Amino acid sequence: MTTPVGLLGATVLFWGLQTGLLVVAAVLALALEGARLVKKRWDVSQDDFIRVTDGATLLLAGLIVYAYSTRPTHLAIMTVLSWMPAFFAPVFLAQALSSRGAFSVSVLFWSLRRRARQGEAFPELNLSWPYFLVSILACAAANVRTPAFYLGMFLLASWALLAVRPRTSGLFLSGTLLAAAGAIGVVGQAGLHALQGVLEREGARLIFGIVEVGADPYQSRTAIGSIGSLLQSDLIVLRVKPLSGPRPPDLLRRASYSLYRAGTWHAGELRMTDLASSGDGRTWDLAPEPAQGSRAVLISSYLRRGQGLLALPAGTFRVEGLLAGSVSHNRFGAVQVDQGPGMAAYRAIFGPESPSPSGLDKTDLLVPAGDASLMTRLGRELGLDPRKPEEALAKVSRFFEQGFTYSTYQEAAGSGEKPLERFLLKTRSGHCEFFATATTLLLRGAGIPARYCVGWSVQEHSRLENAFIVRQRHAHAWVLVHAKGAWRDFDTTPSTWAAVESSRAPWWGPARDVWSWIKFQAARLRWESLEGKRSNARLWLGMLAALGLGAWKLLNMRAKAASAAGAQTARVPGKGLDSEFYLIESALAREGWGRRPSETWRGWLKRIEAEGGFPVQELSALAALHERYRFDPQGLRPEERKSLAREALRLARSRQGLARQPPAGAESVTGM
Amino acid sequence: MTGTESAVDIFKKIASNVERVMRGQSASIRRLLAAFAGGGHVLLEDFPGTGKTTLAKSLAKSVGAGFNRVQFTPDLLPSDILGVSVYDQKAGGFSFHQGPVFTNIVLADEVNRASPRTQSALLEAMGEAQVSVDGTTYKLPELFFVIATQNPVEFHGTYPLPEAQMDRFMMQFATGYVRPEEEVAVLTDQQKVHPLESLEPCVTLEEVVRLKNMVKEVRIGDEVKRYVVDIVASTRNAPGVQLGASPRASLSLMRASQAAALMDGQGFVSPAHVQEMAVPVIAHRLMLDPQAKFSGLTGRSVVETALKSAPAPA
Repeated sequence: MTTPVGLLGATVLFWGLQTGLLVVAAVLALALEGARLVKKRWDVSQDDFIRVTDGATLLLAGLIVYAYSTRPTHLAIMTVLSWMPAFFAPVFLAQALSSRGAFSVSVLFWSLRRRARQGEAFPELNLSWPYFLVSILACAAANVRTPAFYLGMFLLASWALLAVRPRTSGLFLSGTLLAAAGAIGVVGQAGLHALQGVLEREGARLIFGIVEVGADPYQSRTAIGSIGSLLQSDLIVLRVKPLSGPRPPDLLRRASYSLYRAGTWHAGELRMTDLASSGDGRTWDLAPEPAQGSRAVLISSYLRRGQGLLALPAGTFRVEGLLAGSVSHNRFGAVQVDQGPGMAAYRAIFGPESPSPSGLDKTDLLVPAGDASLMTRLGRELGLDPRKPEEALAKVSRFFEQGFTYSTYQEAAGSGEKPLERFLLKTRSGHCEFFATATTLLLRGAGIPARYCVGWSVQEHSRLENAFIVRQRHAHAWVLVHAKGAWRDFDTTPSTWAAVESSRAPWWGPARDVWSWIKFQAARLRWESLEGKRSNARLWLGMLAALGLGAWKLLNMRAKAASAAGAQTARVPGKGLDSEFYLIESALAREGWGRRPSETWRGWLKRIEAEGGFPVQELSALAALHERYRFDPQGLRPEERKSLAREALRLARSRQGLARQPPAGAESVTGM
Repeated sequence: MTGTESAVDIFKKIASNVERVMRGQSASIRRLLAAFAGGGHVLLEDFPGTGKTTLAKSLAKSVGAGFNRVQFTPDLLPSDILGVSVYDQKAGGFSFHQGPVFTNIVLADEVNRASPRTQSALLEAMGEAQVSVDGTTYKLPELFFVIATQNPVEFHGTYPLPEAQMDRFMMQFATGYVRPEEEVAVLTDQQKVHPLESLEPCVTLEEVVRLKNMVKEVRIGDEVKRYVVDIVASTRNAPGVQLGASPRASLSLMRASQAAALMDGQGFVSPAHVQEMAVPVIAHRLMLDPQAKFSGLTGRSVVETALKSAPAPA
């Protein structure tokens, strides 16, 4: 069943209007509707359909790769959808101009093609309605939200539906019902739009009120007080490359906090200050540049939905090469990115000393009431003197080195036991959050300002990537101590923690690292070209190479199949291959009457006559002589051989003469 | 008249004689004659009432040869076909009573209704042109042609022929339904009397034997022989085929092509003859995967695919 006259043309024109491809659409509409006016039809074989379909698929694959590489995923999908009518047009035209007017479903699928070659029959498909639906979908993909779009869609859908309405339904009744459906559509759409707004507002309120989203500049919930094993994944989250010096800093900060309450650290202040970018919109200054000794490190990390906290070395005063909608920071050293890329590769420039993002605050000395007496007592026992911070730090360091072990497992505490007290006095075993929290509070108890800091420990170098890699299990917590006017890193977690964590790496880790590296390279290529950092030339070259490879593979497969088939008979040398009759075959092939490889002379001539080519009596007589020359072991008599040569040459010349007279000749040999 | 012309004449005479009874079946008659002259046997598989028996009878009558019809039933014994040794009181010894197989043309009607044992007895005779009973071998006549029929729609109480035995038949084909106008002509012909009853022999037995020998003389070049082998061999690797056609299929295809060439008055085989005979000669010999069979693959489609994929010498 085909679409009514004009419907496809109108749909394609509407598509052109919506997508802004009006010129392409006008050409397509002319071709699609013009195919109805052309009376000639061609004998498009199954193989020809397969070729056209493969060509369209290859082009579509190219578009998908291009769209995905040059724009964000949702826009890439829209782009591909909105170009669909143009890509499917050759397939539809091949069908429209073929004498069959349809093609086997097997053409569309590799698996079915194989079964079709084995002789299985598949239903015929007429592409008219599917093409109409694809065009409608493409119109919608343009995403033009105007009343004109709704009106156009309504008219096209009504046209299509009225054309296929049941015979029992009158035009008036059908038209009225469609008009009613259209009106309901307008009202329903407006209602849905309003409902969507309400749901989005309420949903966001409900979800964000409950779920903790990723790393948070305002708070960090520790596992202090939790029991069981702390499980960390082996996934690579950061790649760090030193741009100056042999290795990057050991610790990369994400945020620090000053208030501790019931196992959770909070930032003492919720205000985030927006940073202004400078230059090309990729450079963000966090603090004034120090007078001397700045170093740089290149950090690559994934940003989920373009948001996240940056991992930065202590003393970072500038971030370069980061394209983001906004970057904000707080006085606790957290740098938050919004509307950034899915994968950020930025240069962190840092100085030898932390430029102290903020001054001191009374919260930097606050110890929760429940833990205050213990911390004060311990501080006194250790002899911590706030006037000699260096000495105090050494004492605290020694304290944790003696008798404390690193463990990710925590047993259940007795009733009324405080986790920190149990850690410091009883178990003396815990993970970095315990050590960092206890150290922070211990120092504060002794009157030394300290903060709890979270971030990453850089400790593993990858030869594969020629960079330092940071895994999720390298997430770390430590202490920032205010000494000599700056916030300095102070880590009391036993150094064995890295070894303990490493021992938990799975055996398939290396294979997963390779896969992770491939994904990282693909992401980098994509995001860097999206940001314009990288010229599209490499991408285009890659794409062309992939397409070329695909085409070569296809041709190679065909050539192999042809040579395999040819090899079957090529092994027996044929006699009579110098027959002049082959000149006629070549001449006819040029006129579009080529002989198929599996056709014999008789079958070939019969087909030419059956398809209304031209009378073949004369050729048949000559073909019989040629057959004797080729296949009769006795061969021809000399006078017969001469006759074959003479007649074949004469006929070949006459065919060539016809071919040079396009109007009459072309009509007679291609008029199908 | 040259040898080829006389052969064409014999073919034409038989074909037109048979066609007087079998209206609109010229293609089936051509195949039947190719197998007949090529020294093979034919299995006709078609629906009841399509003229299988009539075709066999009209051929027998046309050549003036001996003809016997055996209706195969489940209780038919090998001795019912081959013959039996009976004690002769007068002679004081056993004497062999020849069975219906000792004739020129045997119509084995509904061959799949007999037990495998009885089927085997007939098929041995077909394969070796001789019969062994009680340790004595009896030669069958020089012209020995079996036309077996079977009905594809009935399965209850039948014993399908095993693949090894199917291979003994040079060809299998169906007569099929004729066009309405041909069917009207059949009604007119048989309104008063069956035309088979008035059918007279048009060639002698000697002429037929000469014809068979002339088929063997039809020339076939190496390139065409190779084409025959390529087509047969490609069925062995075809997807969905458990067991492809045997070298016996190649031999049969060559012989049938020779006969077809002779019918066309050609002293040599051309690839078109090979293509023409490939499906009836090869298709029934293929053992297909049950799953492929279930999904609609047939022996015919396998051979047709093989013909399309093998380039024809031209």
